[in-house]
Amino acid sequence: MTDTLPAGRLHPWSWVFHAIRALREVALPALVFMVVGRKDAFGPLVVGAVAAIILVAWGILRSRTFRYELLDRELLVREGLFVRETRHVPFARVQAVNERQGPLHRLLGVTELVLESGAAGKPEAVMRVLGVAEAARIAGMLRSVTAADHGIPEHATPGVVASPAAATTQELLRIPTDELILHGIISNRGFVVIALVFGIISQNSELLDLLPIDFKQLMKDSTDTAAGIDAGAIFGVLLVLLLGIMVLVRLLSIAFALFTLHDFTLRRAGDRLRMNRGLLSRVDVSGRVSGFQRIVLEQSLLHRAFRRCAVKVDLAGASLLGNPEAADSRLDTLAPIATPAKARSLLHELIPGLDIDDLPWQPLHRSAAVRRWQRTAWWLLPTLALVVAAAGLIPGLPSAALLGALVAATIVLGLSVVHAWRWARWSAFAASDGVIAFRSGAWARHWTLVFDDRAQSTALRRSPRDQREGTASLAVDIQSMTASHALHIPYLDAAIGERLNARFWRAGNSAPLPADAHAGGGLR
Amino acid sequence: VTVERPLPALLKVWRLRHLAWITGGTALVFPVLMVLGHELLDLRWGAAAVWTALVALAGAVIAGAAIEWHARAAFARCSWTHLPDEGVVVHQGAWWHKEIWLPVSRLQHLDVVRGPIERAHGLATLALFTAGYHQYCVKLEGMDPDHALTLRDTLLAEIRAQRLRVEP
Repeated sequence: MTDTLPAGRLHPWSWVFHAIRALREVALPALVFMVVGRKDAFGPLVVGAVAAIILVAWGILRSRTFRYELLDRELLVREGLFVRETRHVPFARVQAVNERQGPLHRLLGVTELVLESGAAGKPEAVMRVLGVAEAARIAGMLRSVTAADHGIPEHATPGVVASPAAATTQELLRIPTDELILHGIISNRGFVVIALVFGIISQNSELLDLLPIDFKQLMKDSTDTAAGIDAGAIFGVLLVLLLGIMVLVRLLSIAFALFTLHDFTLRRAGDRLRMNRGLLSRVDVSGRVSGFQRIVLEQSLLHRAFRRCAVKVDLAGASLLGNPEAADSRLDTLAPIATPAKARSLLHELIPGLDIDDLPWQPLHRSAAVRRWQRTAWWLLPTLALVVAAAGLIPGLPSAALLGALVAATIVLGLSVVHAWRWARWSAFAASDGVIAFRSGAWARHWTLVFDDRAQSTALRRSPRDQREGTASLAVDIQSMTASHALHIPYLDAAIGERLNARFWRAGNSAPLPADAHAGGGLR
Repeated sequence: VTVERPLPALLKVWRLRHLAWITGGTALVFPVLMVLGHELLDLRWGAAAVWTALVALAGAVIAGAAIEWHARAAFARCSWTHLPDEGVVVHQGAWWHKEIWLPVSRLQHLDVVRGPIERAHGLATLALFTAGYHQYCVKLEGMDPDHALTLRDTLLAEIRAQRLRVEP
């Protein structure tokens, strides 16, 4: 079917996916509300039928009005129902080529192709959907085009070096199944499933009747017999229940990891980096190494227990806000799980000259520990005082309650002090070879690496406390939608802060961004 | 290289803006307070209106004084420096000082904005845009209109020169 497609049109099945998308965005919340929240089925059925007809019509119109054309150096896209839009997407500007294939896509032999440039906001082109062969043709063509082919200057950074265009494909990382199981244990995604189940049950308690266990009878039994059971038995049951839930959550988390990250591979061909993953939904995304804005290494407590870490990346122009479902189908993870040694060699591979263990780490200002603790103290102290006061003043509580509360408060307070102290002791920054790095954390650890020539702007900030202490914090803004500032180093000696800032300033002035990265603006 | 400061008329523009905010805020709060007074404190509508007016007035005066204090401090700290061929350094923030560094090579586009109130006070705002995310727009408020245009043209020329250096 894919071979007989008229060139430049979407796949005949496209309307299905346009309809599904419209359903998810507009109609689904309303439908869920009506179906789950109501008892009679007739009203929702009528509404559902009307909605289905509208959705199908919408899907057909949307997909029929979409045309694309592969020209010599650019892709021409025409779309729109009422407002006709023509977009020229120069190949050289395309930073990311992302393909996503859900189970339905695979059943119908189609795939969704999304092209992103460095600009924030909407992706340059969303082709929903193309035949697999056609998508592979376009993606292959775009992936073979590099900045070098179009006379755009290579990025002259010591940090990120774009390799020659005609490089061979090299596999950087492949995650075996046992590592995925470990990833499932470490990451806590099982709670997502649990939360979903609880959400549905709380909306619709009749669902409980479908289960083989009669919860209502169970509850009734337990209240009837509660008087006769000793506290130890109740405690035991609760403990078993809690353990059971914890095991269940981990199992779900493992399943989640096995499904979403199945066959995770990271490959590199010159400047292009390509990542595949997924069992039911296949994701095939790519990006440019020269488009890297920031690299983040994460190590939670569990990561540390298993001697693993995760490596994430921010590419130029994340289009998450305009396209939330693209969030899970873009190149944002270099390694969901890896040994520290593997992460180190991976980073070394991508950024020649970078050795994360060998960076010249420098500590923060000496006031860091105290100030870090004060940041938690202003809410922790009143909370603890409140708890202790409640334990002492509420009538009817056993006298041991006050003692227990005092002990607990002391332990929490002690932990907060140890946390701040460890945080200040381990947190440090480093500047070397075009990379400014900041690591932080007390028990869980974070490393943030930003290339000094990628800063869009920097800001030195001084709070009243900073002004008294002679310190400053440095915030760096990059061309990527990061939740908070891409890099924020607090408690810096003011002179050191100015020196770091000067590095960004010099790099920004001596090595301007490549032309394809000059594409900001848009959605905020 | 000279440090430039906003014209004193900017403080008047800010004052007008704050006045508008406070008036709007009071207008929104007024009916709520009145209903609360009537329902919870069992006041008659007339009495509730008088009390609410007094409370709202007091609140507006206190808020106005606080905002004015902050605005003066912010105005005193506000300045910017154009470093030729390098970029612009902006100082902001009344008590939380902020020093923003914008390299010429990162400027995406420049806007000179003149709203009706600014026009009435002979002021202009130069907005500097980058491709960043959290700080994509930095505004230089309270500029002399002619100077804003001159600075814009200078920066545009510098941006063009930078681009030419990269893409001959």
